[in-house]
Amino acid sequence: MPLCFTSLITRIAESMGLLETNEVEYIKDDRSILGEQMFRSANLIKRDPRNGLKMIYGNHPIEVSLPDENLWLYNASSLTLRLGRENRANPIVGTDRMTRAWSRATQQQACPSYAP
Amino acid sequence: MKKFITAMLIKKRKGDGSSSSSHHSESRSNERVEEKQLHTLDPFILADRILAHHDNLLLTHEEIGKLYTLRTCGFNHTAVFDEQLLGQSGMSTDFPTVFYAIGWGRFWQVLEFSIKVISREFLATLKSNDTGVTFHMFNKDNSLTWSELSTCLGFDQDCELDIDHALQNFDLAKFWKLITCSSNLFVRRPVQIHNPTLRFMYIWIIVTLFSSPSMDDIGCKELLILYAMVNKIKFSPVKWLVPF
Repeated sequence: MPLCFTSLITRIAESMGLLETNEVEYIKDDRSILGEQMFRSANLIKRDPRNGLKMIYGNHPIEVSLPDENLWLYNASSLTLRLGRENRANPIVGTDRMTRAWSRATQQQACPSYAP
Repeated sequence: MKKFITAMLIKKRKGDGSSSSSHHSESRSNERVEEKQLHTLDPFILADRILAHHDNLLLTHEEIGKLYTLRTCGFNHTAVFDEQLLGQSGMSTDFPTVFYAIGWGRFWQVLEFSIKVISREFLATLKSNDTGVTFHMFNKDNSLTWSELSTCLGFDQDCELDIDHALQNFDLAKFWKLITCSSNLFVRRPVQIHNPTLRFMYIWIIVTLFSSPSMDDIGCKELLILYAMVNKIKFSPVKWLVPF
């Protein structure tokens, strides 16, 4: 498994001024970007017909349009939503499937973007 | 090795012949003193650092072992969120608010690029103790207190370093119910979290702090961080990061 917290080690070296006096070679690979595709394949968000972003909740009928200032962490009156009755007739978007998709998508970490 | 060589030297000296009995006796006496001195040496101490040729690093045997283990690991830059997604979801506003509230305002955007050589050297030589950490970079010894390390990484200076103390009021069952409505602690899936910011935050945590091959279950540390976010508790997770 690749180590992904190595940028923090660079930060420590930078903070200590060690990169000013030593020549280094950065890893040439692209940086992974956690983008919309990853969230969509994990069945966490979707686009509505007007191309608006919505957060979805598995088998529950509720969809939350984003951005929603009322749900920002310190604005929300409650940290839970009324999700409504779960639709068990449709196994396609079950919780387990979502979780597996989430795992897969997060491991792939979406599309590479830019390199040093 | 050092003990073995010492024992061999003593054995060799014992075998040395001498024609004079007085000289022999004196020699034995000296030998006993010398032997006593040799046996009072500290127990086995690792040899000084040696050069790991392939990497041009000065390491102890133990550190070289760790370095070889690290050879099998890939090294990636820390992943970041897509700016466009953050903007469209409103997280470009809510993320900074939350991170500043817990003293992570200068930490959360990890835009630095990785350097394989110093990452490997750092990880192979990193040691922690009660006061902080020691490590090698560019073949030089470095030490930082926990507080210095926390500041180096970008956490606010007033962040609590004693995590147990900072998050002492955390109640797993209560908090899980608060964010999911669920009383079942045996199944803790990220998709059960309702609040959009907490969902995004959970992903940020597992990608930036505790990269793991499985994202199926939410760990206790991740929940503790979400708890700190909800309750605006300023704490530094450095003591978690070092063993990780």
